[in-house]
Amino acid sequence: MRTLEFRNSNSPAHPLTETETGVEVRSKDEFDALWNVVVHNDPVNLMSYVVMVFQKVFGFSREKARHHMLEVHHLGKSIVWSGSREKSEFYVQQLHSYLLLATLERSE
Amino acid sequence: MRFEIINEKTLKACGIAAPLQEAIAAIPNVVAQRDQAAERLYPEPGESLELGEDWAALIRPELAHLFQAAEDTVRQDLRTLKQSKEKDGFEILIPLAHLEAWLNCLNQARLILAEQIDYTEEDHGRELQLPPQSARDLALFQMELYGLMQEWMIRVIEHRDGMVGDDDDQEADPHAEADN
Repeated sequence: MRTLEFRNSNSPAHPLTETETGVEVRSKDEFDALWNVVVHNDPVNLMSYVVMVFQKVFGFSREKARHHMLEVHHLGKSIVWSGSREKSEFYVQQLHSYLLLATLERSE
Repeated sequence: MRFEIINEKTLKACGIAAPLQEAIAAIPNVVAQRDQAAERLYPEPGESLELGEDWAALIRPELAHLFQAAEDTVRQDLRTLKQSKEKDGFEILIPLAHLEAWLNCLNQARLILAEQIDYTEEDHGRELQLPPQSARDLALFQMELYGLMQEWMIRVIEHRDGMVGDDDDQEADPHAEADN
């Protein structure tokens, strides 16, 4: 397991770098940026299954879960959550465990 | 095929005709081919190369473990799949606590089958001849059957966990029998 170190940087956000001790460092800017969790359409997952997953993973009301499911179904994708990168990674992992197609992307 | 809740702890699927019994018994064989659908079962989390590398190293093994655990649970429950005493088909007993594992395993199976036959939206709802006339039709039949089982399990979970809202009072009670 890699160790992540947090440092306050005045320089622009930069990709992952390794120090001499092998500890990975990410800039504070990267962690502070807003990230989106996006669910993508696929022809196999049942609509009822997707609604259930949204309720279980995000605690959505049934109405909100249906709204996002229909967005995925009709528009091809839906941004279901926005927030920190760490939390976004957690949610994407949860959605993958339910076999949904999900990605995280930096919010514009 | 009928679904019943018995003792509030077990889902009983009964009245299972022989072709359906064969398809249900085949679930572990389908998910054992998980590697053939690896790209779909373990999708990339995003476009970042660095994120993808971390995901492959850390998250994918966890997902693989989860998927295998679901398969193991289904294999265990399939030992109860047998001819009913009433001789009206086969039956199987699934503890309600195992429903999430079944949902996961059935979804794996549907996704694997979809990859194998290059399933598209056009295949959805296609009328199938029984018995299936080709390997592709057999896969489609299995996907439909597994999807039906998922629908019933989802209803049971939603009622069990209080996930049904006021606007869903019209939905069928999963405790009621349903014929396929």
